[in-house]
Amino acid sequence: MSNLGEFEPKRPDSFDVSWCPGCGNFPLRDALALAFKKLELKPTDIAIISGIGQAAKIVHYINTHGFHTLHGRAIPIATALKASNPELVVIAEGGDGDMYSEGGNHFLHGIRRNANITVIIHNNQIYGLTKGQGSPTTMIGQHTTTQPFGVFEEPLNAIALAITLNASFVARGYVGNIQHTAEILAQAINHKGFSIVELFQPCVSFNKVNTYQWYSQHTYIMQNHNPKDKMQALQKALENDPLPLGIFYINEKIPFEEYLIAYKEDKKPLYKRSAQTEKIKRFIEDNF
Amino acid sequence: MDYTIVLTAAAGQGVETIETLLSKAFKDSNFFVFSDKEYMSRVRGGVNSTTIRVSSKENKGYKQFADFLFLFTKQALEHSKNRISDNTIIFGENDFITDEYKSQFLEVDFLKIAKDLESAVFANTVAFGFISAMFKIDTDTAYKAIKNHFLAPDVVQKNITAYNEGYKLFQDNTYKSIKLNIEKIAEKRYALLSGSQAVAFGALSANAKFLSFYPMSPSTDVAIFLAHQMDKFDIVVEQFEDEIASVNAAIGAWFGGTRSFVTTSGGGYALMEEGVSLAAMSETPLVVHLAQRPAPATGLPTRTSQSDLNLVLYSSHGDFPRAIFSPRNLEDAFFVMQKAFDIADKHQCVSYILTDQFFMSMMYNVDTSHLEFIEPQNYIIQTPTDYKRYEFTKNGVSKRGAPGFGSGIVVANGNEHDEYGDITEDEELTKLMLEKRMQKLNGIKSEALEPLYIGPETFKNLVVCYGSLYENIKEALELLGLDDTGLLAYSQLYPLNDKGLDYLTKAQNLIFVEQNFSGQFAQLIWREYGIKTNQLINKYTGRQFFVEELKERLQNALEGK
Repeated sequence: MSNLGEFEPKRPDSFDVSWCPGCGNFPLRDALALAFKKLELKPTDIAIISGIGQAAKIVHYINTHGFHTLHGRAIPIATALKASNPELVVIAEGGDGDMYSEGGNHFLHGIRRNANITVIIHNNQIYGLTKGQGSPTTMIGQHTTTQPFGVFEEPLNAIALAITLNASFVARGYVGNIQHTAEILAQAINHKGFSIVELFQPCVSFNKVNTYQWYSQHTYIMQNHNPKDKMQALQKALENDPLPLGIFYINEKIPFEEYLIAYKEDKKPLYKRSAQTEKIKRFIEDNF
Repeated sequence: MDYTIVLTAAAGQGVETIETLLSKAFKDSNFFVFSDKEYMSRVRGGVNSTTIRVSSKENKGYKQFADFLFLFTKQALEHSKNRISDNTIIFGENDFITDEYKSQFLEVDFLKIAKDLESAVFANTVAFGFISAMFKIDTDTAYKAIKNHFLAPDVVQKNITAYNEGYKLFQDNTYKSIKLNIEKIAEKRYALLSGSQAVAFGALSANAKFLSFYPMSPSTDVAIFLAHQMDKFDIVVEQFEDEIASVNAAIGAWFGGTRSFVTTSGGGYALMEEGVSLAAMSETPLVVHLAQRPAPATGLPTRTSQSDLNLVLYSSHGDFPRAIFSPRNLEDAFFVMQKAFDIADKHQCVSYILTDQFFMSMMYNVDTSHLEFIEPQNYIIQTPTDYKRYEFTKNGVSKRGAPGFGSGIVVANGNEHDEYGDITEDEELTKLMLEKRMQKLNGIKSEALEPLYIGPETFKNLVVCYGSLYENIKEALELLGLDDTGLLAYSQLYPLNDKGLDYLTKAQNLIFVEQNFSGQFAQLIWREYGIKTNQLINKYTGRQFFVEELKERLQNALEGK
């Protein structure tokens, strides 16, 4: 049994978790449930939109609303869900391949659009579900099933990228430290704007380089870092070894939904509003 | 009274302004006005034309031959030669005309008058004044059109001066032979709407509250129009980074319980196909407006076509139910949009509305009493605890909940799933879930729109069409006046309402008219009913069939030529 409490799903097919024993997704899920509890959220307050991959299966193993969608497409779906119902806590979740490769364009423009959602990237630096191909964050020189002579492409530094795009909230954690990860997640969810949380999460089956031990030795929690200082944040983001953990950058700005005129006077979710038939009739007759 | 005016100019010469002002003034003068345009995919130069038909009855056909052809550039004559009949009067500057057409030419120099008034930009308003004088448009009506269009008082004043000069010009002896038979249409509540506005208003009336799109001609006008209504109506219009994001955003809004749609063209839709399959598997409703243009690839961005029926019919991976509509005219578009939303919402399926460039830029007086409103139904339930998003039911439709409404947990899934929405690979469940989804097609078919039949009770020949060709074919057949020929015009292309079969089986000679190469709808009828068309009248030049052209092609087809 896990420590998920009311976030433990009770549906018949939700018990058969397909993550490997020891998978980094387990502590990640624990940290997420802990963050929900810290924020006193109920399962029905939250909707998780996930892409494709082992990470994306989380919607079946945690008791919140969920939509298991397509590879790379969680962000636009989550954005529109939030825009249509700002009362929901909306989380977009996926792996490094999901968010940085197939969904790379949505990641960039999601930052620009700045919907008040939290994007959680399970970064295990490998493709897990499809059994060990290189991902956009696989390290140079690593041998994989599809890069048998070693990866030579530059790994994507999503943290630095997000900061240069003036993202609203940028953080990184390591699931080996559940408390720290839960703290970051709680702050991210609480933050008003597009919050990016990249979480190192070891793939015990297909990444023999970036193990629990490796992450313990190659990461550290930032102390005395001022997340309001963009240049300092960028400097930290460019550090490679050891890799800093914590909240890199906070940029308070108005989220997407608050710009929408539909919510200027009326805060009701869009689905609760009826058709404006009489107004349409009058508008046509008066103006056309 | 029934006059066709064709205005031919380079892009950037502002003929659109004349079209807007004239259409509004004609409408307010109680004339029936129809207009459309064909234009090149460029911002400046080239040659474009606008057709305005003014009548004392509801003539919605696209006429080939102009009564009055206005040339605004030297290249215009060559471009619009096919619009000239023996009766056409041609206006323009002296060096725009060739000897061949001298006898039907009258010189007019709007540009010179405009320049005398300070700036060439007023040439359009001078032309507006000139044509207004021809049609004896009341000055106040014209002034009102100018005021509504230009807004800023000083700009309005300068344009009124230009208008007056144009109006005065027509009184010149050169034009005294032009005597029009002015006859107004019976007064009704008319609204001057375009195809894109009819689609947009249909969506608004269907309670669409979210539109996501990426700009693509000729579908973008729907988004532009609705974006401008965000301060008046409850609707979110957002331009996304690409069509993939757009379709997924629409799915996200629907997942939240909000009616939403995308507007795109063939190439944009090609990128959306993956999202459509997610909507299908997750049983999330989805509405796609697709304004067709010639393809493949970039094709002709600003031209018209009916070649994307096969695209939407066969698109996306896997078997799933869908509904495809193609409105016949503006009133029909207004209705069909609402119907498409209702079908998508009720049956949790994908609905398509196929229009085209010709349809999007078409404008005419719509009798507002013919705008049919369907009260939008609410298909969202308040979820109970232990809610099953994909519960098995007789008709395949499970009750749809929205996250945050009720005590249940809503889990949707693009993977095959059990009744709760969790992933399954169970063999029996896989079979049952697919059958459940396909079962919905029966429900969709049971309320498919009947095709419209016009013609004698018994007939030998049956002409079949859909979408924007309807008004033109109807008028062509009226001109032919045949007592052995009927017209069957579809506005729902899939699934088909089998009432159409009664007509199809009775015909001895079946003629399909389509704006594509292969006769895609004829193929669909053959696939569904095993009925083969005898003749296909088609055009795939990117230009819409004219009424006169159709009349000739139909006549030849009926005579077996």
